[in-house]
Amino acid sequence: MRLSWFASALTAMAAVVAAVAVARPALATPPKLVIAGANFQPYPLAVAPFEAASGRGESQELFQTLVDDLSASGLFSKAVLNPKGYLADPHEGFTVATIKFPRWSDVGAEGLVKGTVRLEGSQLVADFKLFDVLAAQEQLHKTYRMPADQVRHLAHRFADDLIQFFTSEPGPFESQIAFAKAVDHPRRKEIFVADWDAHGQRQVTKNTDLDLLPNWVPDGSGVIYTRYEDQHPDLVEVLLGSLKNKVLSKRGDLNSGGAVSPDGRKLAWSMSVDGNADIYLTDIGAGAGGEPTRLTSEPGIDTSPTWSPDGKQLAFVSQRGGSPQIYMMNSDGSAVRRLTYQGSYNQTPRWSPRGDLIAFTARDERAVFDLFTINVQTGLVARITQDQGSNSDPSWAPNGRLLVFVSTRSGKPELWVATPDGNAQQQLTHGGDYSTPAWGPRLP
Amino acid sequence: MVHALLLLGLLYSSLFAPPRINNQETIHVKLARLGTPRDTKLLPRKPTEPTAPPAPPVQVSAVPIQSKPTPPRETAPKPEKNQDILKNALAKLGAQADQTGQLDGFEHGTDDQTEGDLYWARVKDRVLRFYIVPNTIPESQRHKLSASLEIHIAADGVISDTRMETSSGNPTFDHALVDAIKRVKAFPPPPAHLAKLARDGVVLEFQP
Repeated sequence: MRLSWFASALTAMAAVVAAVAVARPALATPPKLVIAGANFQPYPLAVAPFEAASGRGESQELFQTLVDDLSASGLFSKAVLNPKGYLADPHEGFTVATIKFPRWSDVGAEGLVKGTVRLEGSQLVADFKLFDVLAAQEQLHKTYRMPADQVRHLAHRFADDLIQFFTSEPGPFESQIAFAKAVDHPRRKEIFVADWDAHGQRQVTKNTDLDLLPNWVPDGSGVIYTRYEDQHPDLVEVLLGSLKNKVLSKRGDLNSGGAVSPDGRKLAWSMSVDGNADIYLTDIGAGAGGEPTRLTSEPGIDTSPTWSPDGKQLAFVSQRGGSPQIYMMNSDGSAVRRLTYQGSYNQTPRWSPRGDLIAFTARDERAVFDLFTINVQTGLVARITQDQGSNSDPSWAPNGRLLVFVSTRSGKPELWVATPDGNAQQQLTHGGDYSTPAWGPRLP
Repeated sequence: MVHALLLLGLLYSSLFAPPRINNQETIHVKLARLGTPRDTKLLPRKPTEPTAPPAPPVQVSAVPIQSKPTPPRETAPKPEKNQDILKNALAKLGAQADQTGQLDGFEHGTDDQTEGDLYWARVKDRVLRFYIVPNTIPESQRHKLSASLEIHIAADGVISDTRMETSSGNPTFDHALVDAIKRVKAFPPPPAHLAKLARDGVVLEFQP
């Protein structure tokens, strides 16, 4: 009885204490709810057709190029970017006072790009503004002046400025890609250079041989490639200013897959001098010379070296374990470790400029080639492409937010771009026979 | 007396005994296999949507098709099968379940504390539905983002006022939060004992 009374008293006291504890902060500060688990989605940005006082053709090309760039970035909702989704009022104007923001909000837009274009002699002058639809505010105003024949370049620059505004990182669109493409005959492939979207293609080799595996010199002045002259694979650099070819290595039986270090001072490549391909390193540029250093010496083919962004490590493909797998090592050949354990045929590694991921081509259990990434720290493998033809040879954009690669999903081997998660993919070329693309540095 | 008891027993068993189950009729049950985990040595696959069965052909016509009305066919009522008995019983149970309160309700009611927790859970759930942030924010910055908004909820559940209490320092993220609250517009009306608290202000701390 006494115990029961004591327990009741204790309970009552505890209730009073608890009530005070809850009530006191409620009086002083408002209650707090923690909301976690944001849903990250593409930003709904609309681009209104540009008003053109003159240069209507240039205006339309500018508009389409900008929309294609923004669409490929994966950052913006394709449904809202698509100008077929809405009818813009051509007399709406270019200022906060004249734009009917609720109408843009009705089509789902939260951001709006408007522009005016005019020709001044041979110069194209474009004025662009970015508006916040919900706040009815101007966020960005840019004016560009360029030769009228560089209308696509102007669009790429504004696309990069928009990416910079939204992500605080440089955009990838003022850059170029290099690739091999069949000319006249499927076995005759030459090296080409083009804008990131494969427009403005320029043939930079005319060897009538098989030229493959282009890779950029970090300053963008040249492209290193593998040339099969008289069936012998040599390593050659073509200088993009003069289109002169410079042989880098003709040693042994095979020279392939050259990659220049981020500081531009060292060249890593796969060379076979004793019947087994290994990774070698040599100095290039001023004061270069001497014998190359052999970095790997295990039995089994070692090939396709790719540099980490800090230049301290190399990833490569090795068959030392019985099947081609991705390995990494220090740039002096020490601390070799195997990275991939999933899949039995992994090749063409490319280290992301961000340093965290390596993209590669892998053959899955259904004997289909697809793109994957592996996180260098965690070893987590993620898939980029699936059930869309054969996909191979990924290469990172300079900002590490896009990859260019080859896909057969539309029939022939064509160039495509994808975001690293594979959520946004866009075809760049049609009707070609493309292979081994390499995304170059940003143009100065 | 004994006979009378026997007769009563027989009568009882014929009237109140449960119906005999006809073991000849089987109820078919299908077991769904959850699937075995993917071999860790294989490369990962992206999740794919299950393919929907082909839709029946739909006849499209600009003018409504006039069809002759057909008299309802008179059919003799079929004897009730065991499956039907089971189906009817489940339907009755389902109907009863629909009559009692809300899905997240409690059979014997709730005290103020539980009701309050439930209300704030509903508020969180509704905000979370609109917590959409543009992926223009780089991955490297996302884990650092945190911001607080103070909202005031009127007696009818409508958000009467919103104020940014702590900015994340990232305008895109802050903007997405304000936009989320604009889209929420209103919550369910707060219970009576929370009305003053809700009106005076609640802080929503957003984390990525």
